[in-house]
Amino acid sequence: MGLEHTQDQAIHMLRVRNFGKLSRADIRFGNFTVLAGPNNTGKSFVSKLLYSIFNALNADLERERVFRLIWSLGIDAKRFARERRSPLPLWSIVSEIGTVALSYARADNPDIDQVTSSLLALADKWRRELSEPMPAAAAIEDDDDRRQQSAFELANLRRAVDHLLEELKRAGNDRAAFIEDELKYRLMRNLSGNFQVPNIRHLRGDPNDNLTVNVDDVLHIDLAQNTLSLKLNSAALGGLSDASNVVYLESPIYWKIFAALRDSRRSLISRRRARRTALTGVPDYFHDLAESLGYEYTEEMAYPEIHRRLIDIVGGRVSVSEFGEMSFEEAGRSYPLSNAANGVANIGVLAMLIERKIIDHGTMLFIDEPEAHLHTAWQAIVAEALFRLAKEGVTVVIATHSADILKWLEVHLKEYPNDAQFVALNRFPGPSSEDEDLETQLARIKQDLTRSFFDLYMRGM
Amino acid sequence: MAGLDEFLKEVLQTEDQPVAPSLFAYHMDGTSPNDNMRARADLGTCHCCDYFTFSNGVVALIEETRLGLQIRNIRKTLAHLKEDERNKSLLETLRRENQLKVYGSLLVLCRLARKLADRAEAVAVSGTADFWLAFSDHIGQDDTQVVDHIRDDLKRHLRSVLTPAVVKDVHIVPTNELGKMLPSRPAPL
Repeated sequence: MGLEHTQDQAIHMLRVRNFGKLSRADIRFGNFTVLAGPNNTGKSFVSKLLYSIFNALNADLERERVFRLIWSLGIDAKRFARERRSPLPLWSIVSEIGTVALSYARADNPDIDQVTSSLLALADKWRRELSEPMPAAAAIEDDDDRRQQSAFELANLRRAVDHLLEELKRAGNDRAAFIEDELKYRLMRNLSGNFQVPNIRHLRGDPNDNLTVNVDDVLHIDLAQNTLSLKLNSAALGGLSDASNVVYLESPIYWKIFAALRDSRRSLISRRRARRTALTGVPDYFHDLAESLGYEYTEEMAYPEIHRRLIDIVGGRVSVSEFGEMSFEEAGRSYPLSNAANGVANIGVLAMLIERKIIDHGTMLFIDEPEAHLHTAWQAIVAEALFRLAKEGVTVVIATHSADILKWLEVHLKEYPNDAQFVALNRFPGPSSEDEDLETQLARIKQDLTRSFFDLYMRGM
Repeated sequence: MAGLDEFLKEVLQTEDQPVAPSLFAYHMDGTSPNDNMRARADLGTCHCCDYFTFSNGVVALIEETRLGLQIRNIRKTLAHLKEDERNKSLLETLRRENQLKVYGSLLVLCRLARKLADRAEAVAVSGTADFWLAFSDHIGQDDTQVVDHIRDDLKRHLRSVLTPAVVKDVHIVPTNELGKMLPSRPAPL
């Protein structure tokens, strides 16, 4: 495979303190980032943290925040109107809020200033309408308790509109703080959802100390008891926030039971009235990715050669029906993905993501254990495919304990020494020695991983 | 050139078998105990490095060993230790012995460069050295990962002493694979 250099390497540094079992870790992060080491050393923990951060950083934070404010107001208003059998003026507000939210969500590139100014006018109108006495829904409002409750909820709704007004004004006056608030919200939601913890304070190793994360001195996160604070230097974000999308790929088993996971989540969300982050044991990154399978895509994939190589290896392709059923198509027949071998599902899903342009130029791709269920030869093929993606515009982060993948990397770098510039290698448990060259670091990690085989071998001699 | 090429007349052999028909290398011990390359270079009791050759900018220092036997012998001397301690000590001992082979081979290279001045320039131009430890007894069917483990250990410990500018790489390969890996070097006319 002829490998060409297509971009310059940028190595970033993630500094983590008191994060799970990692009391202190400095993680190098580049085009092809390897987090390598034995089980239970914190690799997946770090990859989930990176995903949570970059998923948040790469969202359209301003737009998301405005949308979330409108949407949450709409939900409050609708609930109030429905439960109180409220009169028409309130329903008309609900309807207006819904219309604004949808048109905003569907707009390709909304002009944030224009949206803010029209929303301000509308919110002001809603505020006035909500201040006026509502005609009572007689049967309900007869009851004193219900009347009090109704007044209380109406006051809440007014406050929500006030909040929207304040926030929109703030967006105009101090956009950086407005964005930072959304980043903070998303970070908290991502951390809780991706680690499936009810409270992110559980992510701290030492409960008496703060958890801190620093990315290139551009983003600093500090988690005390229940408070997450952050400092963001938006102007210096550079390449950290220009990913076209951020994807986390884990065990193929999730994909084999995709329909069941999706349905159980829908059911849970509907019972909890649209609360998105529900703890089910299945991390949010899976659902984020599953959601993106519903997006429309063109046939012009960015990496047809890599896709071809992968489907040739497994002898078929994974497809998703419009109803979300995943199947494997092989030699003219199709059967449910759940019946395919796990290794086939692993490589097949990777190929499907390329085919559906979910893995595209500018994607940030996190893969936990790309070696899962693969024999040595297929591990080498996956390693080669991922490295090539990394060279051709995808930022790839793998967490692995495969000596075979590292051997592939060692041999590849020997054949193409210039490709070392794309690699950021991290040994778990750390620290990696900064004095060591890449070759020696690789040797050290491989030795960690092959030690048990060596010991068994010697025992059998 | 005088005094050196005569030692290039032999095809590189391990266990008295040619490694490859066209693979010639300087045989340090040669056939005559009193007039071989080692004696000519005045290497005295330094018996490291069985062959050496240079090609494509790299000096290849080749040492033949019986790795399986070496491991068994070391294990015997460590029989009093617990299994995990024994394996740790085994690896350390193996590393020390192999390190000495690398250092000894480099010493040979230095002496050759100095002693055989006509070759010094060619060796100097080659710049860096690759060390090949060719083991003649397979230690088992599935020894690849074990050999890789030993090599990784040796390599990273050597790195703290010898930079890639001195020893570029270390290889531990079965003798029957050596021929495929070394660049062929024809015999002089």
